Amino acid sequence: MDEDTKVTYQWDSEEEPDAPQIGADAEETTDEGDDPAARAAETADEEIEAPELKSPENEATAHRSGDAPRPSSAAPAPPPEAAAARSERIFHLPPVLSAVEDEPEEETPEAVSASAPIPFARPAAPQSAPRSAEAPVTSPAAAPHLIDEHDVPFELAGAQKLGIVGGKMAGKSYLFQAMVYRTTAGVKSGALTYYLEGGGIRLFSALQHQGRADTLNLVRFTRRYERWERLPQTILINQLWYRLQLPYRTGLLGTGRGALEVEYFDGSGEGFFEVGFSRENQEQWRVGYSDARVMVFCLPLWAAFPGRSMTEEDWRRRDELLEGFEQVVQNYTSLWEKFGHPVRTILALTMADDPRGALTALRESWITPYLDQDHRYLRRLRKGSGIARYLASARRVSEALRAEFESARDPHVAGIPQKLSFRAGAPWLIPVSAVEGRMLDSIESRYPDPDARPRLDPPVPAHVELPLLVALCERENALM
Amino acid sequence: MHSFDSSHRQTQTQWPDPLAGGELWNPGSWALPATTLSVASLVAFVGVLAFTLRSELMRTLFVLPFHPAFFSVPAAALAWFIALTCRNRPGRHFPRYWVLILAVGASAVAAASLLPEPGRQPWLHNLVLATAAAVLTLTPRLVRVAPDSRLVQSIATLSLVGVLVLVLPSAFVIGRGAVERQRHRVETHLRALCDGTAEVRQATGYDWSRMAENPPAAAAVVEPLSQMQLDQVTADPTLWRIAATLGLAEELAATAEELMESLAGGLSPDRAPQLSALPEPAVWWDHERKRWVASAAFPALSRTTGEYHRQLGRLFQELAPDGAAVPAGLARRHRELQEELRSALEQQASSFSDGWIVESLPGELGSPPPPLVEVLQASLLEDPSESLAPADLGQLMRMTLGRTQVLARRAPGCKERTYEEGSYEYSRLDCYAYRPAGEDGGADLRVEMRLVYRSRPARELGSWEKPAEVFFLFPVPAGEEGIGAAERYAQQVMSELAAAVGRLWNGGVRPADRGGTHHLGFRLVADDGEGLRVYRPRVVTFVDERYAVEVRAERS
Repeated sequence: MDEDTKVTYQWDSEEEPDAPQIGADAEETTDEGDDPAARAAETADEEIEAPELKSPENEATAHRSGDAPRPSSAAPAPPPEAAAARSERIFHLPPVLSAVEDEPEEETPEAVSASAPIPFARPAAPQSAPRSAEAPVTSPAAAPHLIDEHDVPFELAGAQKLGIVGGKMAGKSYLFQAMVYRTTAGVKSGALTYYLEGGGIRLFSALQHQGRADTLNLVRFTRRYERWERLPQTILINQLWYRLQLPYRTGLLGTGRGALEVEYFDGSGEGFFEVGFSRENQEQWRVGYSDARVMVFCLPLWAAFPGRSMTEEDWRRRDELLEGFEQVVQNYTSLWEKFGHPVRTILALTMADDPRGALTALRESWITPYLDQDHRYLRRLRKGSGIARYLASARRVSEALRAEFESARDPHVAGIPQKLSFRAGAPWLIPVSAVEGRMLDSIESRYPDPDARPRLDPPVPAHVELPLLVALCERENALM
Repeated sequence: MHSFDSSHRQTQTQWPDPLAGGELWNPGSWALPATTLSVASLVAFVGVLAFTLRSELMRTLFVLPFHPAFFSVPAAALAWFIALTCRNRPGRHFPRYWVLILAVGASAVAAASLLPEPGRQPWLHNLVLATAAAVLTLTPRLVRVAPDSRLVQSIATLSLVGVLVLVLPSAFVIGRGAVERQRHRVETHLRALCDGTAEVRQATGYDWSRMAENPPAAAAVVEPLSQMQLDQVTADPTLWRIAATLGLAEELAATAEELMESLAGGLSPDRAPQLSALPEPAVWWDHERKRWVASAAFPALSRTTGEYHRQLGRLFQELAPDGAAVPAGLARRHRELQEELRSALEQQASSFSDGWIVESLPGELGSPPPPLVEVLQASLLEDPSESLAPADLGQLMRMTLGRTQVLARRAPGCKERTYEEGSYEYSRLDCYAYRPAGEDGGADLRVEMRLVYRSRPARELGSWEKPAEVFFLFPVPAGEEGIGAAERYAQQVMSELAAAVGRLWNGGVRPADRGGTHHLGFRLVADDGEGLRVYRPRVVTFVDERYAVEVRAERS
C-alpha cells in the first residue's frame, strides 16, 4: 500500500481501542524494508509448517499474503510453537501422499478421490494421535463438520462453467473464496446485489465432476477466510470441484426463481496448471475447461507491473509467476484449439492492493477507497445506477490497464492481453483484491496463533464479483 | 540508454473511483441497460404519440398510408418475442413489467387495427406508430452485451435516438401526406357535389314536356344521375370533421345545400317529367281497326320518368345529414326541404294520372302502392280541391259535353277524342292511371276510364248532351296469368269499384247478385229517384295476350 495512504484497521472498533495501532505497526514495518533476521525466521517457519508439502523453492514464499508472497519485513517470525500448531491444523498428510505429490504425473483421479484432503478443514481425529496415524481428511464425505448432505449429483446440465486458472500462488483459491464470501449475503454482493434475490446461495463440492455433490456449510467454508487465516496452497491431492448456486428472480412477472450455477475447478497451480499440456492431464483440462464460456486468468498485479520496492526475492518470485502464467495460457490455448468456440476472458490482476506493484495511482483510486469504505460502495451498488457507473469505471480501468500493458518494457508482459483473446473479444482486465495482504501479514505476525486472535473485522474483497457478473451475463444476458 | 531499474513506469495517472464512471448527463449511467432501454421505450412511445398528436390537424388527420395492421401485428409479435426471450433474465421488476405492458398493449392495438375500417379512427394510427416505436426501441434487449462493453452505457441512448431519428421525420412526412390526402379527399367531395349540382340542374332544366319527341335524349339526361353517389359525403362523419379541421366545412355545407335544393326543386311536379304530359297513353282503343294498340314510345318514356324520380329521390335521401359532425344548419335545411317535398308528393299521390310516381320514390319520400279503391277516388283534375273522381259516377253521368270539354283542359292524363261511327257521333274523355312496372322501372297501365258521349242517330253532338256510359278497363297486373287469375281479378275489381262508387254516390248500392256480392254488377239508386247500373264485368284479351277487365256503367 502506498505510504501516503493512511489506513485504519478496525478489529472490533469499539471493544478493541488499540486496534488502530496494528495498522500503524504494519506501515512502520513496511517502511523498514527487508529484515534479514525476519526473512530467515520466515523461511524457518515455512520449513516447519509443511515439510511434506513444500518444495524448497516454494517454501520461502508459500506463506506470504493471502494470495501470494509478501515482503518479509512485514511479518515478524511467529513463535515456533504457534507455527507448529498451525502446521498441524492445516496439513495432516501421510507420508504416502507426500510421495504422490512428488510424482504428480502418476496420480490418477481415483487416487485423488481416495486421498485428497479437504482444504480449510479441521481434522476430525484428535490432535494427540500420531501424525502418520492421524485420519487425514480425504474427501468431503469424510468431513462431517463441513458437509451437510451428499445426495446430489455434481454434474448439472446447463451449469455455467467458470474457469479460474493461473500459476502457482496466483491467488485462484483466494479469489474463489472471496467470491463465495462476497455473494453469501445477497444484499452485500456488490455488483451482483441487483440480481441476487429470493434466497441464499448454496455451494456444492465434489472430488470428480461426475461424482456426487456435497452441500457445503458456507460458514465453515469461509471461516478461515473471515478469520484472516492463510489459505494453504492447492495441491494435486486436494483439488476439488465446486458449484456455486446463485439464486435470482425470473419470469414474466418476476415471481419465478432461477439460479446461476457456476462450476469452478480448484486446481493446483504447481501440480496441474503449470504442468505442460500432456496426454496425462489433458483429460482434466478437457473436463474442467473445454466447455467453459468464461475464463478467468489470474496474475498478480505486482508481477505484471513491478514497482521499485521489489526485493531480489520478489523479482525471482515474479519470474516464476510469469513463467507459470505463460504455461497456463499455453495449456489452455492448446486445449482451446481443439474446440475453438468463443470464450470470454478476464485477466484478474490479483493482489491489486499489494504495495510492491508500480501502479500506485490505480491502487489509490480503484482499490483503497473500496477497502476503506466498503459499506458505502456496497450500499450504492444495490442500485442499478450504482452498477452502471461501476461498470463504466471498470471499463475505463480495463482500457487504462491495456495501455499500461502496451507500455510495459517486458515483452512477456506486454503481450499478455493479446494472448487471452479467444474469439470473444479482448480480455477484460480487472484488478482485484481478495484479501488485504499487508493486513494478513500484520495479523499473522502479531497473532501467530489463529485461535488466540481477537475477533476481527473480516477481509474486504474488492471487485471479486465481477467475474461472476460476466458469467451471469454470458449465460442469461443479465444486463439486457 | 540502459537502466538498472527494471520496475514498471506507470503511464496512466487518471484512474477512476469505482463509482465515478459514467457521466451524469449520460442516461446510460443512471441505470442498467434493461432499465434504461425500458425507459427509452416508454419515452419513445410518449414522444411519438405526443408528436403525432401535437395539433388538432394531426390529431384529426394523421393516418398511416397503409393498413395499420402492417405495423401493429409485427410490433405485437416482436414485443411478445422480447417478453418471452427476456422472461428468464435476472433483475428487478420494472423491465419485466414494461415489456409485459408493452406486449399486451401492442396486442390490443393490433386487435383494434384488425377491426373493420380502422382508418376511421385517427388515434389508432397514432397508437400504432407509437407502439411500434416503443417496441423498436426495446428491441436491443435481444442483443447480448457484456459488462465491459461500451454499449452498457450507450445502448439505450443509441436506441432511442436511432428510433426517434427514424420515426419522427417519418411521422412528419406521413402526417403531412395525410393532411394532403384528406384535403384532396374533401376537395374531391366538393367537386363531386358541384358536379352533381350541375348534373341535377341539367336534368331538372330539361324540357320534359317534349320528351316524347326524343326519348333517347331524355334518357341520356337521366343516365348520369344514376352514377352519382352522395352517401360518402353525408354519411361519413369523419369527412365533416376533417373538413372542419381544414376550414372547408362551410364551403362543403353550402355546396351540399345547393345540391339539396336542386334535387328538391327537381322533384316538384311542374319541373319533373309526367306521364300525363305524354301525347299518347300506354294503350288506346283504335276504333277504326277495332283493337287495342300499345304505344311504342311509352315504355322507354315511362322508364325515363320513373328513373328521374327514383334517382332524384335517392340523391336527396343520400344527402340527409347523419351524425353530430354535420353542420346543424345543413341538417335543418334538409328537414325543411323534405317536409316541403313530402307535402307536394302527398298532393301528387292523390292525382289519378301521376300518383304512381310517389310509389316509385325511395325511402321516406315514397309511399306504398294505394289500393284500387283509393285510385278510383283520386282526382282527375289538376287541382285536387276540385273533386272529380272516376268513381264519382253520379257526377260524371250528369256532366254535359260542354262542361267535360272545359274540364278536360285541366285534367292531366285525360285525352278527348271525337269520331263518327256509323250514324253516330262520339266524343270520349279517356283518363289513365298507372302503377310502377316492377323491375322494368317504367309504368304499367292500371286503370283506363272513359266518359263516352254519343249523339242521336244522324245528329251532331250537342254541348248539352250527357254521357251515354262510363267505361272502365282494368288490365290484369303483370305476373297474374291465366283466365282464372283474370276472373279473380275481375271480382276484386268489382268489389273495390262498388266500394269506391258507394263512398261517392249519394244513395244506395244494390248488388245484382242475390248473394250480396258485387261481382256480377250492382245498381245505384239515388234519393231523388235517379238510377245507374253497373254491368257485370267482362274479361277480354288485352294487348300482348294479356287479360283485362271491362266494366260499363249506364243510366238505368
